[in-house]
Amino acid sequence: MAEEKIVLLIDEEGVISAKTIGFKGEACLDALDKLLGPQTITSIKKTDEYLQQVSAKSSIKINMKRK
Amino acid sequence: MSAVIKTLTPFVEQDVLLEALSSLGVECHVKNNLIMTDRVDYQGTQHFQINDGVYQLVHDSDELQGRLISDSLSNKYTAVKQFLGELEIAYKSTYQLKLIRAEEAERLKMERARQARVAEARGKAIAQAKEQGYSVKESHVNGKIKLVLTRTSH
Repeated sequence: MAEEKIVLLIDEEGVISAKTIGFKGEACLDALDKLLGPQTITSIKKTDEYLQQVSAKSSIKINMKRK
Repeated sequence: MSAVIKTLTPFVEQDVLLEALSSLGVECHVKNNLIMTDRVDYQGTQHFQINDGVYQLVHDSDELQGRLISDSLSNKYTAVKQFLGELEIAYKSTYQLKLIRAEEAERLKMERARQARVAEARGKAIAQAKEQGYSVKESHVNGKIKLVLTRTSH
């Protein structure tokens, strides 16, 4: 059993930044899409963890802007 | 005969003018777009009428029989020139207060909207997370809301 973790930071303006830990490959993007819905993503930063092992557990950071 | 005296500051906003008049202790009311005061003279009630968007005081040119409706020892009729001078100062002051109140109202409106955006983002994220089987731990970091969502995949 693997632990999947998402850390959300909601700033003073309601803008959400998200960081995923422990997802496999693109699953992190899918998880965020399901979680946050059709919000405007302003940036996606793939972390070293993601780039090194896309097939393994991955980690990304995204910034989402309110609609 | 009646006369019109123009002041330096145009009285353009009815609510400001009414508040300024009130601050001077002038009892007044609006009647058919005229602001009727408690000042009377030979021509009747002195009143403000609007001309080209500016309120102007209409009164007897000689202020013949000038008086207040409720003249008293503490509240005496003042000459139109002095009255308009005092009113001009009160109008400017009231207008500044109006601007300050408007700015404060706008600031509060923006602040409420900001708080609502944050609350909505937080509420939606927590609801979705719980629906999808995450456990949620909330904390506050440097004015930001931190949500740590955790679940176990098989």
